[in-house]
Amino acid sequence: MRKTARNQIAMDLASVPPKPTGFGGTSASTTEAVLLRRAATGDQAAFAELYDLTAARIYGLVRRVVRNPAISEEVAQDAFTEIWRQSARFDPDRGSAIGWMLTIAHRRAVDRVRSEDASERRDDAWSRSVEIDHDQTVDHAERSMDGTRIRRALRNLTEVQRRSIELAFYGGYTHTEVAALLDVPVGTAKTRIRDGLIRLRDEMGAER
Amino acid sequence: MSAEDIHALSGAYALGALAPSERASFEEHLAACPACRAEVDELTDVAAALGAATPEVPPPALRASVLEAIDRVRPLPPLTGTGSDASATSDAGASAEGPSASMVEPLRWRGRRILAVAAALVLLAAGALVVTRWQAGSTATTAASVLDAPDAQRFSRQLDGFSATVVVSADLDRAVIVSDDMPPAPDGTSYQLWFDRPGQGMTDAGLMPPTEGAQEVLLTGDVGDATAVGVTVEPAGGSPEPTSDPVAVIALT
Repeated sequence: MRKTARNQIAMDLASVPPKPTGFGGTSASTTEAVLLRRAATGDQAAFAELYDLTAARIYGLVRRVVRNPAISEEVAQDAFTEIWRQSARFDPDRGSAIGWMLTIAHRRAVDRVRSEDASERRDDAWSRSVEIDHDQTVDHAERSMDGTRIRRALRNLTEVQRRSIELAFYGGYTHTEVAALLDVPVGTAKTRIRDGLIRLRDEMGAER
Repeated sequence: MSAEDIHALSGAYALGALAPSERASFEEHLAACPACRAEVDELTDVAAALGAATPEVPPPALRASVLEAIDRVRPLPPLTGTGSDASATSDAGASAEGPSASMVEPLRWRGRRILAVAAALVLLAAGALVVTRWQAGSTATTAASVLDAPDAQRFSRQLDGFSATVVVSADLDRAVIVSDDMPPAPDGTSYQLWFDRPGQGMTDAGLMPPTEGAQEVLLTGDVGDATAVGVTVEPAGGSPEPTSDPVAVIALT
């Protein structure tokens, strides 16, 4: 209440079932879907198993966005709790379980960083915008195929496309903020984000 | 914003990079634009692949705290699609339900509908509150200790001639809701209190006791970063999440 910028009575339930994803149709993701289905019935052991399968990706994404390890832990816990709560809302016909879970985690992480003191983040903005170090925090054994593919695809984007996408997704910035960070017109950032994602989609689709 | 401009927001939307107001208007547009829905679906897949690309081993303690946390949370029932809210997506195909569903839920809290329980409108007529009270004998925080706290702040909300007041002590990190002449909740229901927390939505803050007249109720849980307190009418015993529009929302600002 004291510091948040969201002082309108947003009453955001933050319980919106996110759009799932089609990437990662592996046997592991099928297992994840089964475990999620069991979790929906209150099966905590199934959820523990699901945690073990996905924690590195969920925590890794949260850490990437939030950065601070202690806060990341909090946000990741919150994300998993939300995944548990919403587990019945996952629809396997609409995409992979991990994609759905990551979307929830990403929203939580972004909500958290956006509610932080703005000046605190701005101090850090340029250091995080310049170059994303992909390898620094990655446990190599746990890298997914998708991770390798998407990183390769990212390298094929134009500089503005790549940085716009990384700032928007990993940085948690709005496209308007991305434009300001990159010193380009708002319309340009918006367009580059979209162009870049379409190109990533095409490249990843072609590799499958 | 021109039509072309709004189409171009699909990428930023898929990455979660729209400001809340933009997101709302883009979601309105999505409901009417199958081409954008299809594109958002595809780009959201890409976003998920970006999300999976940065794995990091979490601290070992996270596992235990997650499992402890879920033990206290009831999973939601599945969406059955029978509510009126589902009509917007009924012709959109399965793949469009995600973004469409996301349009619906936040609206529940915007008070667009006439409140479900008319009786509950007669609400929380808060009287001026001057408290002279004994000091709490124990170390536990009580309503009185919050109301008497030197840093107590009051947040009142007028509602059709009624008002409710939330008193917050930042030092104690607790809040009390104060009301006078509050009508009883309808039979079989309770008033339930909620904190609205950024990133978490409405979190349970306990039930109001079924007493008439003046009340001072200590909300369950820390105030933390809550931005508002909401009151809903819930089935007796309360609900894990709000099931109706709030009868009162008191912003803590």
